[in-house]
Amino acid sequence: MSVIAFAKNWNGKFKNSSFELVSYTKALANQLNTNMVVLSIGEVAEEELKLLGNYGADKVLTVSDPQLNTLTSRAYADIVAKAAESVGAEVIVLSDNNSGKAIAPRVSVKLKAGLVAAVQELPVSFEPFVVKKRVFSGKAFGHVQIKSDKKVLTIAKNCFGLLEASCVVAIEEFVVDIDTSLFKVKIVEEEEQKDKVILSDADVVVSAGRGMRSPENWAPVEELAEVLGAATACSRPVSDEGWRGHEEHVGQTGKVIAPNLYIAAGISGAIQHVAGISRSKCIVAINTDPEAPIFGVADYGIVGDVMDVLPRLAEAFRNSKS
Amino acid sequence: MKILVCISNVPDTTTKVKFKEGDSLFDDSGVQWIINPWDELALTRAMELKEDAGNSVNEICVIHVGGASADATLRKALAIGADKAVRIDACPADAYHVAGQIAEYLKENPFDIIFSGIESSDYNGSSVGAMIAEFMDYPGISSVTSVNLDDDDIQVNRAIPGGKQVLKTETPFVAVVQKGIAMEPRIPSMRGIMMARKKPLEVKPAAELEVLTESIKFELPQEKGACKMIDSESAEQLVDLLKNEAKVL
Amino acid sequence: MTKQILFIISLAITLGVFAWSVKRLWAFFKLTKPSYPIKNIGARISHTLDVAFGQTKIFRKPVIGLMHALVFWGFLVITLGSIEIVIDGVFGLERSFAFTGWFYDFVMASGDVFALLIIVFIKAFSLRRSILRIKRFTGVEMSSKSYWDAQIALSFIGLLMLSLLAFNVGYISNHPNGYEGVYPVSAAIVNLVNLDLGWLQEPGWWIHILLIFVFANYLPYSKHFHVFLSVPNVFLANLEPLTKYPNLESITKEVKLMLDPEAAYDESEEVARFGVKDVEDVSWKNYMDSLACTQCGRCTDVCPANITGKLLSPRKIFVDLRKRMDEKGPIASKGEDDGKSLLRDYITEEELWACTTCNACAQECPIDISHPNLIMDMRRYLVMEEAAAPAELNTMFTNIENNGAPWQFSPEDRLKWTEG
Repeated sequence: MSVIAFAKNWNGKFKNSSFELVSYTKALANQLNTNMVVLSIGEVAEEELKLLGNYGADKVLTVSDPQLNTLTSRAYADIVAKAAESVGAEVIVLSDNNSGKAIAPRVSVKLKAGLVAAVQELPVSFEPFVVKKRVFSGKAFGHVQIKSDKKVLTIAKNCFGLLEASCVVAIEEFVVDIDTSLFKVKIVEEEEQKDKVILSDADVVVSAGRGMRSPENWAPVEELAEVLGAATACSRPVSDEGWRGHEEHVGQTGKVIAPNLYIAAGISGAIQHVAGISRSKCIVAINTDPEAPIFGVADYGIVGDVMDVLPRLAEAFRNSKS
Repeated sequence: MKILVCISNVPDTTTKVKFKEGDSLFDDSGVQWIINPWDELALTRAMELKEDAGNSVNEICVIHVGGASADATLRKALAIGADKAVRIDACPADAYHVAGQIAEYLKENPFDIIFSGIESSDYNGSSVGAMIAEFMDYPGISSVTSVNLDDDDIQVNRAIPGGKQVLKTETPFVAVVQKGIAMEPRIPSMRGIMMARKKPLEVKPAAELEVLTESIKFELPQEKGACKMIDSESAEQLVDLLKNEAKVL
Repeated sequence: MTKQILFIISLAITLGVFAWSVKRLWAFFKLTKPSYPIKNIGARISHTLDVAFGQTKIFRKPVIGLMHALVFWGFLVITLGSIEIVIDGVFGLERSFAFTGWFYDFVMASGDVFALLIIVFIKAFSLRRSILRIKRFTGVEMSSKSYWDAQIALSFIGLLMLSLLAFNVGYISNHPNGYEGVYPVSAAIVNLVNLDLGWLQEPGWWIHILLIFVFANYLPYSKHFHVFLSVPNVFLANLEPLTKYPNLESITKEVKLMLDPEAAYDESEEVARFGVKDVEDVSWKNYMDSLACTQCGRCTDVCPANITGKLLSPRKIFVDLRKRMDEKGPIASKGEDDGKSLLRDYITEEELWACTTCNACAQECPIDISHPNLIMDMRRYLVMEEAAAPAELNTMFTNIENNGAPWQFSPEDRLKWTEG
């Protein structure tokens, strides 16, 4: 009975979400008094795999077939299930990101293991096995019991944090038969923005809304983002008007993000937008209207003109660095 | 080509969420029920594909696992333009159960494309779509932002962090869709509402299936502390606070 | 005798061609839908005396209005003379109405004076149209065909008046010992000119009546059809307040059914189509409006949407309706379809949604055309048949359905505003 975590890599590199997953799984394994295994799929260098030890991993199974470098959820789910069975895992943990959402449900059906997605913290109890997750798009929490013997969890981004440790990692190649007939989905083209900070990964996000009044006024937003090493985002009316791209839209039907810091400039705070940002650790709001709903969910607020406040924040941050 | 759209019946976005019976059940008194927003976008896209004369889509069916109180929502889906609605008469206890019921229906009634919204706005499980794909052993694509049919050539766009992938696949397959799959959700026209009365709404008995998880209780989040206001004249203070107090910079 | 025969033949041909035009239009009218009931005849008569005969709306542009009013009143008087000419021609008589004594003198004298006035005004109208850039004569719906239509009609009228004067001048010259009627202008001309102008009588008479015959048959295909249709259009106008928009009985019934699903539902009563998409959906009054429209452009001139640069032009709506009926009418009568439609192929959605229903156009129209009602009927089609309203409206509909208000707030917060 052990715990296995599937740590995704992107082009052979792990991200903070992978490390957070390892930290969580380690803590979970400790609570269950059992051992943990980390599974990696795709070609990843040994040095990179060893990084997992910095967050508590002591054993890593790697499936380094180059065919599997890009996600094909059926193949990945097959491997996760087989790996879980081979190590006799009771709990399988993944990150709640695009790949986790694709793989975890399949693993759940394969192993008849109850699945709870986007779990917020370590289990509330073990007998019965109960975990806590957000429900009603962030308006409440639900306690869910998993009744099956095997259990699948995906953990929400930024719910647990990174716990550093220093473990020696034993790396083992996991040999598995890969059924190529499972590859029915073919990738024709891939586009990835290389130069900007990716929104779903960013720790700090600077976001702006209709309060900026015109697309020509975005320079202070981009300047602050650059100084903070942050990603830029926007509210729905802004992306609907075409002022910013759809990939920047944060909200209930846009991206739901969970950065450490979310700065909302000229955003009123409509309920659909808040649904996309309520998981942020800290929210800062800048708006000329002191009655704006955003101040109801923000931790810090400034009533002022964004065109004035944003450059001053950028300047202040620059000064504090030097 | 036939398309199946999985519909979830959820409380309207502005609902004030409350619980009853010792916080173990959602209090649905006075709640306005709507089609799950992502499922609505999926249905809109299915309608667009059917209306495009260049495709061979000739039937759109919507399916829901739930009780009779969801019939009004299913009629709305018919009014938007679906040809047929099916309700599996069962309590949607968990994602595994819901996906299993839909899979049982699919085994008797095959479809070429199955659309599912990426999550439902009530329990945010984001599991049902991919589970259906696994039950049926179909290819499934998640985080889908666009589906295009050129005759029978299927092209699907998938969102990845910071970009997108363009994929090709074959029927039957499951598309788990998110924002971008359609621009605006369709609303029913008067004509659609009148025609919905005559469209079939089949109620099917539930199959025997296990339920693997159970909701025990709910909890409202703690009241967030009041927002700390900083004078716009001393905006620089904020940087200090973020660094030293909130520790997020 | 020959003259009589020739005249009767010309009259027969004219009436025959005219009957053919009427038959064609009648077939188009048969395609249209019913309109409001025609009641309140007394009110209608007094309204017609005001607006049609009194030209009250035309006078809103005082100078040009006065010129048009005089031309119109002149036409009325001269028409009486034309009727006499037809009787004369058929029965081989001369000035057969002269027995009415002073009345005849009055009518003939007015006609004679009006003829001169009309020639002057028509020339002014024509020069104005060709030299000045009048904004309301421009627009996407105003092609060069519209320009030439106007100039041709003006030329006809000018020649009609010249030929009338020529006839009168000739008649006076041929009767140096006394004649029927009084002709101030023509008599003055005869006195001024020291030539024998008697030869003008016959040609003047023939040209005058033949021009009337040709003109009458030109009118159904011209914007000048308003010569025939303006008075009836005003008589049959909608007398309700301009902004009052009627409910659809079929919808009232549908709402009642929705509130009580157990109520009996009669399949046979299903409505063919909500609103207006193509010419077979418009009411006969809409179509008559489109035939009567003079393309004067006073409606578009006062439309706030048009003034601020939107695509909407109230005149274009009716010019397009007339054009589309010309296109679809012939084939629709045979039960065929050309795959096009008034909506989208002629009138775009953008034009329809730009209307603010202020009714400035309907108020301004000298012949009581009601533009916003047709625009609203086309919007009805878009919303009720296709749910093709702008996204903001669809969002509002959804909010009203789900939250009981146009905005997306929880119904539980309805009284929050009382909390100060």
